[in-house]
Amino acid sequence: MKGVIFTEFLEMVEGEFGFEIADKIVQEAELASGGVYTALGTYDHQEMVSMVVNLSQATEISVPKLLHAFGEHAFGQFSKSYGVFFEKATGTIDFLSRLENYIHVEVLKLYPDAELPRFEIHQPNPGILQMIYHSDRGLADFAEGLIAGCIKHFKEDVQLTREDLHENKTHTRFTLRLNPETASV
Amino acid sequence: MEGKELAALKRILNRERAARKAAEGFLEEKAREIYYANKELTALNESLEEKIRERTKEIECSNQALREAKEKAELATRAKSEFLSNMSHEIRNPLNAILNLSELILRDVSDSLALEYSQSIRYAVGNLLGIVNEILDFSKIESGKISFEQIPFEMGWVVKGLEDTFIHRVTEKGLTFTTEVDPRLPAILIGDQVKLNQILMNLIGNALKFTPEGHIRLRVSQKDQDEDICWLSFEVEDTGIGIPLEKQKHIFESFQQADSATTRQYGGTGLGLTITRKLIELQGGTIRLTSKVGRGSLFSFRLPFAKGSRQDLQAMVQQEEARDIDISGLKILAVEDIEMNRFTMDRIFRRKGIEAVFATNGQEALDAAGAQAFDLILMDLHMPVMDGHTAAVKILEGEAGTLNKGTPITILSADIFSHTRHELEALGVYGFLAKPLEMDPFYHFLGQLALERNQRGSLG
Repeated sequence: MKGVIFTEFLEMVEGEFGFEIADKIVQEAELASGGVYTALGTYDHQEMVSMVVNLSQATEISVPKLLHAFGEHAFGQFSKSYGVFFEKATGTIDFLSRLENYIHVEVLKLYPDAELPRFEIHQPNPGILQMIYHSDRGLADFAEGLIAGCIKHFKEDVQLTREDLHENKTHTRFTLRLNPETASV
Repeated sequence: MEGKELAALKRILNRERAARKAAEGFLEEKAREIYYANKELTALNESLEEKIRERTKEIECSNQALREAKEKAELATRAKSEFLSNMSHEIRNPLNAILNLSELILRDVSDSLALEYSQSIRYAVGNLLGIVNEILDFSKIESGKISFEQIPFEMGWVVKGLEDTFIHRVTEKGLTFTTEVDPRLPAILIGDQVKLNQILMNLIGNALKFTPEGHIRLRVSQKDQDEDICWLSFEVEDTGIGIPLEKQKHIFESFQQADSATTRQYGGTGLGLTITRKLIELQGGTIRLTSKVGRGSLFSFRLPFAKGSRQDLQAMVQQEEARDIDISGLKILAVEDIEMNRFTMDRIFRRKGIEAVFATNGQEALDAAGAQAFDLILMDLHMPVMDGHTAAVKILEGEAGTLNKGTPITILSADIFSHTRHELEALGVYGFLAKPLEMDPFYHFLGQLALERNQRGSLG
């Protein structure tokens, strides 16, 4: 998993729950990396799972909720760091429809060793987008958070529904519907 | 509580420091990667540039090769054209001598057998000369050396001339030849009468050749006109063998007749219609053919002519007068190195009572010009000892004395398109005559000269 996810995660924890909690979840996880992360590095994604589980215990917030919250936070950070990907996007659906064919392609140019989830994308009409998430890591909650962050970014009235196709959350269908009344805004 | 937080912060700080160092390591590694990638890119760029240079060079080389091949081919074609043209000139010289001599026999000898033979000779040589002239015309057109005169003429004369030319052959074949000239035609037209005549001679000659029975009709009518220009339409119609549709589009191409059997049966160079079409198109006209096998053919073409004025008419009348003027007693210095040509010229001069002195090269011409005044000096160009060009310049500049300083010098040349023509004209040469001399045009030329001389005489 790319280091930027780890650094963003710890930053969020420090900001939302304080340095003590941040230090605690790192200490308790007994991580191979020792919790030393740089945005440029690549680390075992299991470390992330351990930290999230620890955070859930420390804060009594469920893992899915934490992952969702982290996804929203991370998208906000990404939109600042990678503004170039947003240059031509006209809205949520437009932006996400190009996730697989544009954004992931560019991300791989920047980080050739990045292991990205795969998305099956269907757009039956301009106001509806269907994205099926596939990843062995089972981070559908994180993905949902990222999509929610995207909707927030474009300040659009988009309804997001989710259907897990596998209990391990390795295959999940997300459906985005743009409210036709606000479509032109 | 504060102690715990401080300890946590310290650990976080240590982790951050370690992360910073790791990040710096990454950065250094990335910088190195970028450096090497850059180096590779530069090398790649250079090799690409090298490849482009090589390709450019290759393309330039092949372009150069193509240019050379093209130049070679053009040179070869030009050489062939020139050879053809030179050979034609060479052939024309003796041919004209034969033609003129047989003409002289016809006019001056009373023996009936000799008359009959010379008639046959004249006919055969006339045909041969026609072929040679076609080849010459063709090579002139090919090399862009042809030019068109703007001379006043009357359409009636042209048509009358054609009737006279063809009447014997038409009657001999049992055909009829009718001509129709639109009465609305301007009285005087300005254009190249000689070329028009050539075009019509060719088309009527063809019609005659390919028509076993029936008639040939020449029709001249006026189409559009504005203030200065009128477009005339000419039609040559026959009831001959006709031309199959699939051959019609090729009939105007070089060396093409309807088929090779035509060449065997009817003869000809296959250049006649090419020349005809070119002569028409170079004057801005167009030619069309409609034909049906077994029914006959209709060649029609359009040509623009300028409308002539009264002054043009006067100039024309003067030309006419020149035909009848007495040219006996004219004194001519004829400079010519070939004996046969001198012999023929001598006979031509004698028939009209012209007094001629002959010189065989430029130096002899200078000597003769120094000794006696002439009315005209006829000067060949290519001669041994001193060429005609040099001799003409010397006489014009007075090196042969004052007797002939103002005498008109006319260049006699087989190649009247010679590149020295402009130069000689600028030096004050009076005129150019195609060699060898043709009897009637030459007499006409002398008539004009005599007329000018008389006019000068009466004025001054």
